[in-house]
Amino acid sequence: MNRYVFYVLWCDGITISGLLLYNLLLDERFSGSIMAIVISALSGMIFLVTITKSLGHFPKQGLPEILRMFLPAGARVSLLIFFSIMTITKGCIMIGYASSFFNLYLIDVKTITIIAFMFITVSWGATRSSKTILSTLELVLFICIPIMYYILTKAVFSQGIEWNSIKAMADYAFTWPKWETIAAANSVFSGFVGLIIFNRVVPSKIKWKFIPLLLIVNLHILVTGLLISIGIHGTYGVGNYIAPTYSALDSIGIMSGLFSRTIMPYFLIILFLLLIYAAVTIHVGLELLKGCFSMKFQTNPRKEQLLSWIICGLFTVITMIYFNTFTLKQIKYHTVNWFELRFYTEFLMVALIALFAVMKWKRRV
Amino acid sequence: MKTIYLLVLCFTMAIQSGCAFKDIDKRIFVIAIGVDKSDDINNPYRVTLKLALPTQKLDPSVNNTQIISENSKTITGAIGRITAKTSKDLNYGLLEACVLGESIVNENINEPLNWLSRRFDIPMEGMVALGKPNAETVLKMKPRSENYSGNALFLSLSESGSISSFTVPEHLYDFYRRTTEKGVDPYLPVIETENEVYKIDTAALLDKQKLKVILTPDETRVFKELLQSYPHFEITTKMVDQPFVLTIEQLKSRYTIYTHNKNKPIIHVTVQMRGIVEEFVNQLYEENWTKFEKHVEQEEKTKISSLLKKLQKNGIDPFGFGLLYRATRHEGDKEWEQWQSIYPEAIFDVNVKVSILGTGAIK
Amino acid sequence: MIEAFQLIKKQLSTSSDLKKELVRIQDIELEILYLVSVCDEKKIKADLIFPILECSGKEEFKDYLTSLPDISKPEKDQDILQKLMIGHACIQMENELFLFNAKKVLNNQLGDASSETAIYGSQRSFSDVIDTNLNLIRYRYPSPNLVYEKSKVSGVPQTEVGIIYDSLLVDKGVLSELQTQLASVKPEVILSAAHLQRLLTTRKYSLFPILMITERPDRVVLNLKQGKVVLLVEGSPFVLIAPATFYDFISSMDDAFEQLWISISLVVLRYISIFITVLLPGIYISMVSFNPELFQAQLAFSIAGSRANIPYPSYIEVLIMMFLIDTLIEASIRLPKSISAAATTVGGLILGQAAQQANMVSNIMIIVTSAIGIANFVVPINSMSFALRIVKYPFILLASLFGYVGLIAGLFCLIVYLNDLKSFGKPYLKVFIGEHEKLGKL
Repeated sequence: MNRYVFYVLWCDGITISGLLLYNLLLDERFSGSIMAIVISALSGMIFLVTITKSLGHFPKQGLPEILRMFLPAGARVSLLIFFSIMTITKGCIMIGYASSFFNLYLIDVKTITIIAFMFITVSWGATRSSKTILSTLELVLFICIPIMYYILTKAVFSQGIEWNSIKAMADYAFTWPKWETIAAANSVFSGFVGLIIFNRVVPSKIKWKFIPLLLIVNLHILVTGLLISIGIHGTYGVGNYIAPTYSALDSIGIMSGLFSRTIMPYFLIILFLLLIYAAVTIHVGLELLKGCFSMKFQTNPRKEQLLSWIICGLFTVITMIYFNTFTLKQIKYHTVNWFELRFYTEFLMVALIALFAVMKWKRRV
Repeated sequence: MKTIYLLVLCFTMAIQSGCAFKDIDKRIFVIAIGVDKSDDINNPYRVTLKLALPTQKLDPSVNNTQIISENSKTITGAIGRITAKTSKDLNYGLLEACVLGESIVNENINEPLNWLSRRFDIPMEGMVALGKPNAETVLKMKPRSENYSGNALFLSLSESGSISSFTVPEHLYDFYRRTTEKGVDPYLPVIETENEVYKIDTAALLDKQKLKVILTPDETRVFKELLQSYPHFEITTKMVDQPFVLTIEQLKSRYTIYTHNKNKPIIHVTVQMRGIVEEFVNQLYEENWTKFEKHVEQEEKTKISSLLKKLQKNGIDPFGFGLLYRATRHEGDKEWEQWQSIYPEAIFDVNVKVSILGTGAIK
Repeated sequence: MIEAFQLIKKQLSTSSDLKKELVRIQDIELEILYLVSVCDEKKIKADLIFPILECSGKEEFKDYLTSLPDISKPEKDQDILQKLMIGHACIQMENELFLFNAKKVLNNQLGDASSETAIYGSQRSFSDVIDTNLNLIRYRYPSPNLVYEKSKVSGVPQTEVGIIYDSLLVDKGVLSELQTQLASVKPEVILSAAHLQRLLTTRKYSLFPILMITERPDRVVLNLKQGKVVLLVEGSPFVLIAPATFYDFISSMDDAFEQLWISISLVVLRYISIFITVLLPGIYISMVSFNPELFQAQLAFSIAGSRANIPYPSYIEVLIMMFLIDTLIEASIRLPKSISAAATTVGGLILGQAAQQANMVSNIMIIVTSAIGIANFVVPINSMSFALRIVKYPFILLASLFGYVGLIAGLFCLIVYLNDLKSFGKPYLKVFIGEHEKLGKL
């Protein structure tokens, strides 16, 4: 297995759970979020295995090339545009959310300014080559992961955790979850979307023994965050917070030797991860979009860069307007629905690639 | 061309972000906040802020704090009035202690607590205490031992400085959790002023809303011992007409709830302690220590049971027996209703096991 | 050919160091043409003039002449002029032209390794002369696979550039790319190895060096063993090594000699220093102006106290001090040795005490400044250390706009930029050293 594949999946799980999922899942804690995690883990693994196995039949090819082989131009272009919009919006939502929280906790600059600033940074990263992004990803994870795990581990073993509250939650483990909750929880495992592009530079084959590792790594981050929040705020109190995990980490002096508020280093880590996460997703979206155009266009670096920057600019403006018009509460409802749509999109993506892999295999046989 | 765009971009960014830029010398740090009930009926809240005055040199004799109090209808209103009195921007990022006046705890703590938790910039790690007779007096006092602004209050309330067996530290997040969680009730350490020192040797127990009972120092000691499995306290008894003091170094407490007998639910409290003799005039090294152990056990047992009964009588549950019940039964939301009927009738079965580890440096 | 000879004579006749000698002994008639300034006259006398006396006739002398190792026949007319310029004597004998290599080398002394010192490494640096440098490398790397290719940059005048590599270990792609790039370099004249390094950098706005520049023979040998290509430049005591990675600039030669744990800790120390020197001014600004609550309360109070009398916002304060420390470093490099001590003393006084007492800067800022300076000196290769000195200014800008958010975003951009850089087709920033090009196996 290529270690860059692992990074792509890992980074996705950590960032998305750190920024969004804790809030969404904690809201549904009495109505089946634990079950949702289990189900989503199963479905996520099925998706992952299917897509990596199928991509193995298309060495050094991304989704645009695969679609080019099997589909007429009209279908290909519309599919690619849909996929790319879904992928880029994922990055945009995360940037918007993060900016809102940074506005609340870190600096008093307007949310849209932070969004604009982050988009400039991220767009610059996203318009680089795939190899550059992958090695940046490696380095960022190398810096962030140890601190992240240190904070979470220290928090789990801190005195402030009330284990009885966590045990009391076990009663609700077998409640059947809502469909939205499963779709939301499933996004921890949606890092494989990146592989459809990165398959061009790194082979996405995963050895069987690494699949449980991926499962553990992603679930560990998700479950630890939930445990900490419930342990610190209690089963009912946790529902009263806008961002329970941030408040929970704010509550325990973990790095009290150096920092006075733990939330600050945690935020900086999350910010760093978010930047690379958004760069990866937007890069994937841009590459998908470029697949709509002719090969001649794709080999012209000047035009290609221009197109990428225009798309990034467009999405920056949309995100800024969106986060300026709606309140966080409305955005949260929209996000839940968006997560559902994302689930179907990913299902479609996996199904298509699997179908084409079977077709290719049959042709050869 | 690209460079020009970049410059324009930087410029717009600079204009946009200018408002957040505020130098540290234009900010003033709130290190403690006190909320009281005022005498004024129209403006019921009296908020006191303790502000740290930055000093270049460390000098304990210089007054390095400023106290500002205001009355208002709401806490935010009072803060607004205080802001009008200060020259610098108030910053709550380093807030270390929140003192609630006795008057307000007697009535309702929800509003100040809600305000404290609702603000993003107040660290939830801060300490909470009950100020007696009121929060303002507590904040106004400046102890001699303070080496930088306001840290004496924090050190006495938390356990990063002195560890006293009579001080039960309470963090803001824990206090908020206890007021919202079903099956566990909040408590507060009571802080009083006395000749330039803080006296924190009692604990106030609350239900979800207001003060129920204030424990005596002795009860507070037992309370702390049961609350945290955190040793470093002394048990004082009398043996052979001599005071006998045991310093506890290891402590394990376990609670179990038995509801086999529907009419007579039993709460088992098992406490294991191991300690060293710290004060005893007679020689005891050669004697049989079991005698001493048994004596201490007996004494502890009565103290613990009387405390537990007192809490039960007042209908409060700071040890979280209710939460334990919820954690160990698997019936979802019904558990809580069951527990509410169980607790008033429960019987406490207290077991104390004391073992003496040694006699200190002399026999 | 003969016309060319006459033409050259005419062209060079204005140079006073041109020497024409007509030798007529017995029936041998020679005309020797050379530049006194670059030729060894003793050698000419001993190898050309004296043997005439011992020869019996014209034929014998001609045989002797052609058998000399230093003699060659010019292939083109253009060749003659160029060879003359670098210390050859031109001999005309019976309508035939010979070139005789009589190079006079004055500056082949080995200097002390001064710009890149190592405790246990070689104490000598390269000299100004390619042959001497080649000699140093050959003795240290006695391998038959060591290839020395003479190469010249296009354009006139041509400075001699030598390419050295181990033919077994070298990366063919890097070698061919280097050769094509070298061929396309069109300078007036190459002043030194560092000049060539800049000419070989294809990026228009470049900040980080993508070729390693060193004066240490042991580093050259180490890099040859790693399969890299070494460029020697005539007249420069520095050599270039390609491709370079970021890690190379952070490693000192002593890392290879010290015990494992010592060298690992030293490398870690250097990386921490890089972070300090780049980020600390930004952290200070963010701490003072955006989130004072990040660090401990005491620190916040003491900074607030020491900043109480300072009239400027934090970024002006930082810029003043950064300007002072950078001018101080620059001044102490450029000044003559005898004065530079005075400069540092004066500067140190200003930076240390007076600035703080005059309420220009806070005393925490002085600690920050010196930490930045010291951390910057830890980087072993000067070109990288200069680059890092520049990098902190964008971070100051970002921090004064967005605080910690700006800092992290800047760090992200820096990492992306470094990853995007390629040194002759090889990735510049490789974290995990010693791995092959195939993007990592797990």
